[in-house]
Amino acid sequence: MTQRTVPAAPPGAPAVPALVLVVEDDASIRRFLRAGLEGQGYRCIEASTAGDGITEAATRSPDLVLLDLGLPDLDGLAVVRRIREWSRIPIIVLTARGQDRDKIDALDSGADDYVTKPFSLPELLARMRAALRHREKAGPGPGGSVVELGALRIDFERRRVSVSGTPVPLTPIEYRLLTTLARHAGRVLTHEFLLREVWGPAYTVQRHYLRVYMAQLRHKLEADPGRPRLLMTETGVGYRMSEGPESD
Amino acid sequence: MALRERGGRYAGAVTIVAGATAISMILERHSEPADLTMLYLLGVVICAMAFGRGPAIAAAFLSVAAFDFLFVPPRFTFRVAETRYLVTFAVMFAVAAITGTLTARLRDQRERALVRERRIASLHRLSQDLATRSGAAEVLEAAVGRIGESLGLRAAAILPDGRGAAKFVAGDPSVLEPPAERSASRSALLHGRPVGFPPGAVTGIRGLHIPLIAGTRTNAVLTLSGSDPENPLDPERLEMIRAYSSLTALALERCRLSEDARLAQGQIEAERARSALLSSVSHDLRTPLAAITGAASTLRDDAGEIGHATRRELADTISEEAERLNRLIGNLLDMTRLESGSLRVKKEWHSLEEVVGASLTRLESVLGDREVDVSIAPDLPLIPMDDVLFEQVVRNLVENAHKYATPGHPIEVRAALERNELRLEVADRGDGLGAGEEQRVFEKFYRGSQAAPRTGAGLGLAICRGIVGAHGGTIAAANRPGGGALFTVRLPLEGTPPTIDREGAGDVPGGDMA
Repeated sequence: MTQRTVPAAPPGAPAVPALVLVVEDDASIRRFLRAGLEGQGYRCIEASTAGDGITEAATRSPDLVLLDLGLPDLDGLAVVRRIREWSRIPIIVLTARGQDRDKIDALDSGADDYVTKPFSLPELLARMRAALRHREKAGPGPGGSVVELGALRIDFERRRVSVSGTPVPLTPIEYRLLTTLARHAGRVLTHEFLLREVWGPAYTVQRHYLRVYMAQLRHKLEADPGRPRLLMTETGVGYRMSEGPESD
Repeated sequence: MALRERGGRYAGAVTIVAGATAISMILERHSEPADLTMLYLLGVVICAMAFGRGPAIAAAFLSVAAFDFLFVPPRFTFRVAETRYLVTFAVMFAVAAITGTLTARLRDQRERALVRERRIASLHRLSQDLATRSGAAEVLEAAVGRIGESLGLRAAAILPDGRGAAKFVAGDPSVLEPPAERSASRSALLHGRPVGFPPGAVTGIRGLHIPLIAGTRTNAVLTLSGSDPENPLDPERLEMIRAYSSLTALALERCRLSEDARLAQGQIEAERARSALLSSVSHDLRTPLAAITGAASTLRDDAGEIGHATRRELADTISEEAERLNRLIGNLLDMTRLESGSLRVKKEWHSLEEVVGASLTRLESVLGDREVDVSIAPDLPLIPMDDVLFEQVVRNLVENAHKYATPGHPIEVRAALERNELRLEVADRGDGLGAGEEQRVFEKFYRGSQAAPRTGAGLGLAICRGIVGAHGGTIAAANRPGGGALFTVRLPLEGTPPTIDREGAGDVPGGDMA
């Protein structure tokens, strides 16, 4: 393991290392996560059952929860819902491959993101940084009125979108879709969530709307719409706005 | 019916005697009374031949009466003047009765021979018919049809259903409708003994329930409806029933034996395939595991003598081999899901551009600096597909192309609408397919004859074919002119793509967002 010193807390945050709660029943995975996370400067607490996990989450107030969905005593989704009853701490679920429905359910239950097993440490760290950063920004709308993601620049106040300095005209729906994704940059947003946010609750089954508008956005914003760098597809689950090269 | 037939036969006898009388009256003037008796005798013989013994005797009696009344003096009375005529009457009656009886017996024998011949022919037909049938149900279907038809009975057959009960397989279900008959047939099946045979042996049961036994096994039960009381089963028909039953039992046994043989053969083949698969899979699983174990143990036992670069290399090996293992297990699981039929295709309207883009993103680390030229027709509508599965098809095809293509040559991905189909092509520049490989590349565990630096388990293209097939499409492989392989996927476009309510507002951000 290469020892790299990366600040665990996002820039601008207090220099106290972030506390991560790992809820996972498999001892090998707990060991690897502890080694990897502590090597990156995080502090770690572990729980091997859902019951312990909920208790630790309530008593130790961690900054982030890594939650295995296949726990022996209680469904991981139930743990997400229980924690969400009192807390907004970022939750990243660890799922097995091919369980798209679980991922969607976890996200819709309030999880912030997911990582598919087997995953690499850099992949997990990128997701954790995005989740922690998002927590910092959480509140009424984006703190700053301008967001820059690579060549893309969104000016929320003036409702202007530009790529590499060139203004890009967007339709109202395209703009709403883009800003919804940008506000949650780095996180996966499910089809249902996006449809509800952008079109309204009546449209949550009209997924083809989403596909058509995502294609339009890509053609307007991406250098190569066939190989997007910004508006990423999470097949079977939803979409994610990339935060830059490190997040994927 | 039988009564009317009998009446008809006697009426025939009367007609023949009347005819003989008429001819006698015409010939009377030129003949002796003795000659006329011969005429009457002829009539009796004809009656015997045509109608059997009873009508023949009746004809003999009528003939004597008519002869006495019309031709023996004193005429037109039944009185007889001369005693010699009494002798004539007696002889005439006796001759008529004897010839009539003999002729009638001859006729019966001939008829019986005919019936026997018909039945032997029908047995022969049945045995020929049964020989061409395969499967117990088919055999019983044929047997029940032929037996019912040739004996004039309704027939049905039951088979053991393999769970200790019986199931109806062929014939007229109404035969087994009465509960008594149903339980009688089950009992025949269970105990291997006939029930209701011979008819009337058990009160309350009208049918014949005959177990079809070969060796020591009861393979089925044949049930014949009880015949109607006016037409009881004679010994001859019972004999026929026995013959039919044993013929059918033998045919069933033949089916069972050939089915057993077929199953045994199938098991041997399945076993062979399984062990081939097992050895292939275990080799594919062990190779990366061996690399991981080796690299990990080297790192563990290192006391500081391994340089930084080597440590890095070992760590890379572990992570690459683990990734390879992960892909292999994923492919094996997918293949299992495809083969067990548990794969569910959830079709939605998808943008192919997006699905291809997502595939390429996922493949980024595998492709390295390999270029991929994507050209998707701009007018391509949304396509009904399962995005998760179809992304895998594209990924497997591109990965396969990458594996076999000459380094430095781009992979081409093209998609367009052709008539009412989506045509998706993935093409590479390389050695292409070996002779005759166009079909075989889609077989599972098939690895290309062109050696690739690091081949997978040979499942990727088999999975592609399975998924495309589950979508109702086709996939084909061919060599390109100029070298390289071309894979073509065709998907039917059923239904019309959904429409979108277009926005009325102009392209001005900052318009009304409510």
